[in-house]
Amino acid sequence: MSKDGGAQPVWSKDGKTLYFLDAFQKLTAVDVEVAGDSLRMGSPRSLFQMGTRHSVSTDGYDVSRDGRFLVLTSITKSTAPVVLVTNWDTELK
Amino acid sequence: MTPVDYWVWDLNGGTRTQLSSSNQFADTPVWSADGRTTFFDIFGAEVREELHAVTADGSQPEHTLIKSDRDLMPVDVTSDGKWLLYEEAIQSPKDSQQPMGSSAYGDADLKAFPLTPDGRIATILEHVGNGSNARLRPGVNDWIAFQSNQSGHSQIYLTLSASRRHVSGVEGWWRTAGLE
Repeated sequence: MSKDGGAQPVWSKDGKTLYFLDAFQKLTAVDVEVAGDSLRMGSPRSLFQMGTRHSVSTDGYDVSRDGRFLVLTSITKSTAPVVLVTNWDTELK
Repeated sequence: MTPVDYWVWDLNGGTRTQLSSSNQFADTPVWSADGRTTFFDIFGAEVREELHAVTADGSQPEHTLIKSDRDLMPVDVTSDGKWLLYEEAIQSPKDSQQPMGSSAYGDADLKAFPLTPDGRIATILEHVGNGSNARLRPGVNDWIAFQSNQSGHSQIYLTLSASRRHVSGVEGWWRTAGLE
């Protein structure tokens, strides 16, 4: 149902809307109408940009019964420097 | 591996309570339908993959639902509270040469574990992929939303119940779950 990438689907509590993160970490909503074994889906609507610095693979957000979102906005940022090691294979000789 | 516990945070009172008690890596907590119990997986040096349950108020001790040598991950509970949906990796870490708990190894099936005494474990979707984040449509559980990279990158898919797709072996699960 997603066209430009999607992850972490979460249903609204009434089962009428499906939320997911698009490829750019934007929280997206699609209205879903069920008629027997068929589905009718509305157009995806971008709601807001998720603030996570690094994507998480699961449980990055949830939606409450009254439609409010609980969102993971940040993950502990490491202050350790990035170390580039060159000619590392010489250590193996 | 550094042990990771998980906590419950009361958004009204602001209190935090540690629920997992093992000296392992606790992951992906899922609430029961009545909000009284949480399910989660643990893994680490001392245990294989296990699915655990513990009451949210700590009134009942943590206990084990499933032990496996394959990666386990709870994903959802049916609205009637009778079934816990979880992923189970198709390959064990030994077979795939990947570390246990790694998202990199293996495909996974989506299964249902009975939370009542009269059910049996059933496979709901085969090859759903590790990290499917599968979610049942609330209230009726007739459709499952999940993510998959079968197209080459992660996309969202919706699929009907297994019985409507005429998948053998799961009719009892859907009937018991009130999905027919």
